[in-house]
Amino acid sequence: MIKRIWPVALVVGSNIFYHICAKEIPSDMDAFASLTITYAVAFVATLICYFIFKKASGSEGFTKECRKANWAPFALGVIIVGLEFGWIMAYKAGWQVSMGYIIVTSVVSAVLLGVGCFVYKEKITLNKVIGIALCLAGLIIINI
Amino acid sequence: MFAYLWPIALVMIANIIYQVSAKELPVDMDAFASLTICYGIATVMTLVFFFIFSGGGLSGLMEEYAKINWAVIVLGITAVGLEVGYVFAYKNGWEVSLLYVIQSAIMAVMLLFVGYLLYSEGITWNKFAGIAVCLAGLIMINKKGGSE
Repeated sequence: MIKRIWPVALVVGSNIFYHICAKEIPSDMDAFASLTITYAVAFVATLICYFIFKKASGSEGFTKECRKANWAPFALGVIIVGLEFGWIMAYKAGWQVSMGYIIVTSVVSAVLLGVGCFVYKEKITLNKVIGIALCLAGLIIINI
Repeated sequence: MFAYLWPIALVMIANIIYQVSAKELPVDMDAFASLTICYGIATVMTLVFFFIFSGGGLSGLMEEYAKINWAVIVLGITAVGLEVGYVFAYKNGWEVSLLYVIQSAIMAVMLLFVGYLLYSEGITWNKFAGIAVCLAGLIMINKKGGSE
């Protein structure tokens, strides 16, 4: 049970601090310049984490681990920037935070339901569909 | 209209590819090693974007760096927490169809309290109702059974 819960708790906790920090970034600083520092810090932090946890994770050495890479780590790097850039431009285009968040969450959740079902053969039960619909309804009510 | 829609479309597509990429990271590859590649790419990309879109060259970049505060650095640490959480969630068996919506619902509820405690934002009746509906949804998702 704890194995399933801690990563989600980490995502939620980090996401909250992420939003607080994003709000506190100097407004007169160039967005891309600040993101170069943010990602450089993230790069160093993951490198430190790698060396701290390498014994526990049974690592075969950094270069050997990097040779196992497929397209996904590279795509993830590009996509993270696309995400940030998209949000920055969305706010510049006049989107409200709450409305943008609801629309993105609704569409992404619906598409991921399909991706889970057709690509990863995940079971789509009636409970799941009703639960997802309720979560989205709750998000809309909170942001009315 | 196009200028209004394309950024949000980019966010949606990026979010979907993000979840699929996080799930597709090689299972036998060390999670932190794969994230160093990811952040290395992200650092270089934002640097290239700065020179293309913001201009000003190296001296312009240094001028921007002079404006740095704590949030820019802590943002990097929280980004790591976020990505590590997603990577391990998928490694530990979470489904693509559930993880995103569950974390979004919990996040919305938690942000209400953050807004109340840190920014003195009011908690109105609709926010309480929204929390109740989100919780009902989370309970429903985790309920065993239900026809396929």
